Amino acid sequence: MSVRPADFPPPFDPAEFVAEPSDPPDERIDVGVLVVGGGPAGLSAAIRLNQLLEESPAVRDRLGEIPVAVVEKGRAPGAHLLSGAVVNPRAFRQLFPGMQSEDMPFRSRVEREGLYYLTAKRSIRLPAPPPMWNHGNFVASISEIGAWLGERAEEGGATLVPETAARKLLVSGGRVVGIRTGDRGRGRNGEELPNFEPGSDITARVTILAEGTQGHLTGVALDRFGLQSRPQVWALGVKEVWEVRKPLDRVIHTMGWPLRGAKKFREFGGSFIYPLGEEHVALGMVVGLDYADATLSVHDLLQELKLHPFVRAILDGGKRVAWGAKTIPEGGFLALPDRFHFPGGMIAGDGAGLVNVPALKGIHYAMRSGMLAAESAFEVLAPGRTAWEPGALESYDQALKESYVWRDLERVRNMRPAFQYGFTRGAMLAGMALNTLGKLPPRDLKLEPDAQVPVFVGDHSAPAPDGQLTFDKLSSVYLSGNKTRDDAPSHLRVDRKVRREVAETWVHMCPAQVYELGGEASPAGNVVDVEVTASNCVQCGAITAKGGRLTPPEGGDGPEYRLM
Amino acid sequence: MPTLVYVEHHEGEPVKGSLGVLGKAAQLGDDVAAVLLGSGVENMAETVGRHGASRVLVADDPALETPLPQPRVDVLAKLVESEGFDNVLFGASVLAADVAAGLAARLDAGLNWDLVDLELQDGKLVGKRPALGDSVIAEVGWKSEPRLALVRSGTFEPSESGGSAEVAKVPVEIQDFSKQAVMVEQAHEESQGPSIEDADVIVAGGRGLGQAENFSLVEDLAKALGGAVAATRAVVDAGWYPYATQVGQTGKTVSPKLYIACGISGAIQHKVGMQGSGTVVAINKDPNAPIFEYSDLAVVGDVHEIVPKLTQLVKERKGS
Amino acid sequence: MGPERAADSLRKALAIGADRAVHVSDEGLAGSDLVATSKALAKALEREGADVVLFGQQAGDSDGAVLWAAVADRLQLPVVSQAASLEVGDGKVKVKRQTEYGYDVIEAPTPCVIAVSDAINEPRYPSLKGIMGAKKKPRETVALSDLGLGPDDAGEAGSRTEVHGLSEPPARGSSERIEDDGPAAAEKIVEYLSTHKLL
Repeated sequence: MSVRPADFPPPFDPAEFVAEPSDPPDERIDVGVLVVGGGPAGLSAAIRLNQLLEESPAVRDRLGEIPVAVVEKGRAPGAHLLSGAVVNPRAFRQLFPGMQSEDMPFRSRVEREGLYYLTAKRSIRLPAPPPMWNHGNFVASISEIGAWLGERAEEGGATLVPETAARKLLVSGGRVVGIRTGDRGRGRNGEELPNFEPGSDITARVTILAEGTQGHLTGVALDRFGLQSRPQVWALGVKEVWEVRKPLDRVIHTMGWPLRGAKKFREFGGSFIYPLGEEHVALGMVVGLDYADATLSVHDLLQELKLHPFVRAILDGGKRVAWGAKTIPEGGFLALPDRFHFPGGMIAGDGAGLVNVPALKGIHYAMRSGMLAAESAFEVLAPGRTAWEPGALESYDQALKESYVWRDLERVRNMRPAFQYGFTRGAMLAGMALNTLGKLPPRDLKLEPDAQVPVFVGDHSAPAPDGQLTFDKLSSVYLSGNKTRDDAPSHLRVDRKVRREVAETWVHMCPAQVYELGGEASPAGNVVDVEVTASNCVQCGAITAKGGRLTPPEGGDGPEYRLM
Repeated sequence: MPTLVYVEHHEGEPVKGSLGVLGKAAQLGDDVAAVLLGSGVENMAETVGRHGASRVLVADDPALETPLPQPRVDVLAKLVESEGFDNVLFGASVLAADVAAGLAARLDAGLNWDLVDLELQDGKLVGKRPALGDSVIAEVGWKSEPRLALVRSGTFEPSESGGSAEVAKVPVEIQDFSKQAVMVEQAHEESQGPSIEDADVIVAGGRGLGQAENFSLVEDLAKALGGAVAATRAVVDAGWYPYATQVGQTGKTVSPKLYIACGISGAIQHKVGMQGSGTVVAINKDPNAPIFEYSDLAVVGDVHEIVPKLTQLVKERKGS
Repeated sequence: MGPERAADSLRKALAIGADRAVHVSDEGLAGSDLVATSKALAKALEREGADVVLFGQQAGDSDGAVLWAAVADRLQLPVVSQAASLEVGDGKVKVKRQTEYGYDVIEAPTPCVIAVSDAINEPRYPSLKGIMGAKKKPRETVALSDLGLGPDDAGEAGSRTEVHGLSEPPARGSSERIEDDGPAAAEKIVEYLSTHKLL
């Protein structure tokens, strides 16, 4: 009998996070446009709005004391951002016309690149398919991009509100009118501590949700307005930054080992190894969360990867200086929401699934969608309309469909889903799609939600960490900068009594060692207790993909990425 | 290299930390004077003389009775200037820190604090102190005289050299602003058992103890050693022991002379809270426990067997 | 007082409830030790004429728990440190001071300098209104020249101590290992502690 994580749904109801405004009017905070999420999408929206309002002071005045506000749950913009990353500068050029690439927050131009197939001992160079070509692109750190965009947004007049979690969607009369922020200063059992500070209502004329992967209010809005009829799927990326002795001269992607190609394992993914300037290397392992072996740990696969002679040579004599983990929406075109707007607001960026998996690109799409959302918001507000009139924000969907974002995603839509059928068949299908620019295969492949894939307990085992090249999960969590207080209430919703196979899946899946097996909970021994150490959590979102639910902890908690 | 050592006292006795610093100063050079400031303190001069001072300077005045820093700064500043001391050393304490810093400002003299060692290099005084959360050691020096130094509590052990010192009185003149803070009530009691931040010995318990009740093993050993009890995050999370005793990244940072870890695996989150400890003894069943990578004495064995026996032997040794 | 990124801390302070921020920032201050730092701070505080100057428990970068006493001496104001509780009123303050021996109760007239210990409270979280209002509160940046100080007063030139270098702490790591259960292990531990003068 097959066991699936989806058989043990978490104690989570999106309706719990929808509310009417409840603060008395003089305590409510009223803003013009509210952007939820200080990542590339959200900050680009804020910057674009700044630009439009600068040219139309009359409109800006009408929006009140705070025309544009950006709420961010991390310590500062960038703290919760993680990506490879090789960035297409196109959106930067659109957002900052005339800016030279030397002035953009990139580390270096991509000079050379290579795609390699790894076996346990060897590496074989492969020709890279066109979607993966990176000529003209730049290697960057998305946390640095986030910090940089944050400064530009503030300079241009937007109000940034960091360390603030968006906990509830404020809905009144069927339309989104803002958010309620999370409380701070609760104890483990939810009790109010001496420095308790309740959350507040922020009301806005337009709300742009740009929360990134597994966005909390994004999920709530998709449910509340019935916007997501097709399932999304995710991959988990675990990444490290190393100080190295020899500069790396090329952008590298690998496939194959340590992932297994047989169909029963459903292990799709690979690694990236990028030069981050002369002295650092960023490397990571990315694996689709539809894998079937409960003992697979992406964290540990990354450790194993480093032992391969090809990778060891790159890191030789170096020192690990940063670590992080985050999920990536992988469904692409076939997992996009039915609509990107709802009465009162829009969804932009990774939260809307705008990621090109074969090209490994999402940042410029996020920025472009943020800009388009800003333009639609302005279009509504300038003549004094409201964002919930019928058709008011339709222009956003329209603009997205006419942009390169849509075109690129449509072309590669079947490539990732093809790999549900194992590596060989998947490569064939993907190759077919590639060569026909997406016209083949003729019927779109269907995506299966990650949590519905049956799991079995296999026999993956990680080599013991040596503390020099390979490390254990707790050391990694420490390096993420996470120092969440231990007595905060748990923000993770999971069924606490589950089949052993599911518990093992969570234990191995989580890169931060949040989940542990408790004692036996059934006489037969196949249902176990799940123990949760929520303060380890780096908010990667993997648990939501595979049977639980991540909700935002207190604002400011979690990792403090600087180099990610 | 004339050196002056500030000797703090409590309830009629010189404080151990100050005597330790005095002993170290005597090791480094011959010309060591100690200074006692207070009211009715002259009778301590003899003890101080036996612990390394060749001269004991006594500033005895009712105005110095209460342990407030600023009057002491006034007296010491005049003394250092008139006698031309090159080095002024303090054993760290709440009072000494305020005195040393006030004196540094008064004399525009360099102050290095939290020192765990002092030595002479080419005849000049050089210090060593932990930095960056006890993860590195910094060598620090002074660019001018006098050199002021605050030595971490308990770094040096006192030793009786058996000598006797000449005693001299020091004039006491206190500025008006130094008299403005007034002691209304003075603390007298020693706290029941040291707090974990001040303790010389800490016995810490982790999940390896198995259950909350077994924490009594840790408590008994701590009591026998005269130390404090600490706990790991896992144990506090599980509700076995209060958060105030948690040592680690999200708890307290401690640096006792002796840290005994019972049933603690030793993740880095714990290590950063105690890596400055003098000697680390770890007892754990798992031979590969990370804590053994940074302990001085690794004991692979069962805490439930070893700790009670250890407590018993310690009691016997101490003859209690 | 600090480099540019110290502005973040000031913003937090404004968000929690401060009315006004002054940022003492000057390249010449980099590398300042206690003597140079206290000199610059004292000059900056002189301009303010506060009734109570509050310090926190220790610096983030050098674990120095001493700055307030140096500043108070330069300002010639009474100083009380390790305040676990603080009452202000009627031209004076009343402090419960945490020492190794328990709590002293100390009174001092204002103006004075007080350093709090971490027992004083759990720091509060800023309210959303506070965070958003922080932007509008007055912020001033002050350089060495504004304080009447020159390059010799600050930075390395104005410091009287120096750092020679950093090194790894003496490597620890099971210099001795005992693999034993029960009574024999306990005896060996006691012997070890004895030899190392820890017992």
